[in-house]
Amino acid sequence: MKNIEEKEQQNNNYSRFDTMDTEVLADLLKADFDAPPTEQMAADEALYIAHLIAERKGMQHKDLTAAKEEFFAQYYPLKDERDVLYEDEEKPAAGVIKLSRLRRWAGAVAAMFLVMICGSVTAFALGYDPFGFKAMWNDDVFWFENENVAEEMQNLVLPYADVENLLPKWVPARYEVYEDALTDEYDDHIDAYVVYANTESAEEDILHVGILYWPNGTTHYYKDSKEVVVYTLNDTDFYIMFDKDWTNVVWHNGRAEYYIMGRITEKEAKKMIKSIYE
Amino acid sequence: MKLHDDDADLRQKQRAFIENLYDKNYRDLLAYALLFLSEADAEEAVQNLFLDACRPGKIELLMQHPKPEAWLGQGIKFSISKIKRSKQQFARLVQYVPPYGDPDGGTRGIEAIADERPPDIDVDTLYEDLALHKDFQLVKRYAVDGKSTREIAQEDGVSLATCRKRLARARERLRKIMKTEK
Repeated sequence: MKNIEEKEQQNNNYSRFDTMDTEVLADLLKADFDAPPTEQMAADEALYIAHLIAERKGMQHKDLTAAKEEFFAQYYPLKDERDVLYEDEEKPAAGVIKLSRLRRWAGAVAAMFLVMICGSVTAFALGYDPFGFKAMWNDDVFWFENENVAEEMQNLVLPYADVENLLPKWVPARYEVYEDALTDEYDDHIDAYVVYANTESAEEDILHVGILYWPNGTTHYYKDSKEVVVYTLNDTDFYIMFDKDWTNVVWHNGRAEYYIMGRITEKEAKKMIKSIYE
Repeated sequence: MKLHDDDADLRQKQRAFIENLYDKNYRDLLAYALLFLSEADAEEAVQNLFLDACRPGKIELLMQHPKPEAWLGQGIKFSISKIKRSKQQFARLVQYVPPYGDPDGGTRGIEAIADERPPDIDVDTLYEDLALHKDFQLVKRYAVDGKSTREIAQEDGVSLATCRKRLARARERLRKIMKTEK
């Protein structure tokens, strides 16, 4: 009964699509597919539109019973096997993701951060959150250490992460969006980010704001010997660290790692952080 | 004995859960996937999505999830992207630029290679050494002809698992060839 009520409620909410042209609806879904995660429509909204389009076009799908039989006969037996086809053997090894992007922004950004699996290092630790991410750093790098967090749990919660409200709404005026919402999707991690460019600088000056979802990976951020500043706002610890004239801000919301990286001051970094909650 | 019974019971519950999800969502998910993929690939994207949902570790959590349909709705996007990416990756392998054979300077699909290559290139050796032709044909069917792995498996009379392993192996061999040719 509850499901029927929910369905009716959902249909009422999405009834605005009912009067829209089929082609427009198809374009809407295609645009949504390419949109950054923060701007995508809710999954059930997208499926409602897809259902509407199929209905209008009178699409004759494969018989449900036959499809299900095929699933249990051919696909289901693979559930315990390694996904050899879609696991790209040539995917970037752990640590390459950031470096490959750095190549795109060669030079200026190259000093920002580093991804690697460190050997044993003497590290300082601060903060322990219920999701099991411990902030760690030594003289050279900063990283979040994942402690006992179930990867699958994160996979499940990711789509529901309230990412739109977890990124800064303010950036220093000298920066303008250079590349809007890029998403790098890999088999084991997703990196979604916006690149801003300093319009007042003759030299390349890039500001990155992004989200990294990498359950089994560790990102190391370059830092110099200056003390890491822990700025707490709305029960979230924002770690502000420096590497000469670069500033990296990193925080965790229990689901994904967020970062701001660029030539900004500590004051600007804090203003950006505050703008998340505006 | 009790353990076996519990296992069987759990498997049955999991299967019933997936069947229920399948019944409720298959059509909408397929309708969505069809906007981005061919019919065969769209069907495969949906089947792959349910396969991912059944994987150990995932199914248990999904069963406790307050809204598994929303997970599927988000997951279908990943599933579509995965197939698109895989097809593109394979398509790149079956394109080849003849060293000095193509007057237009463009790339050609595999079916043109034997005729396009200049006579001084030892094509036979290339084919013989690495079973190039066989791999090419398999990869071509997947990436250029747009067939799904299920269709190829059916045509070749092998299981889906075997078909996917063959494709993965062909990919590796072709990659080696491409590296050698470069």
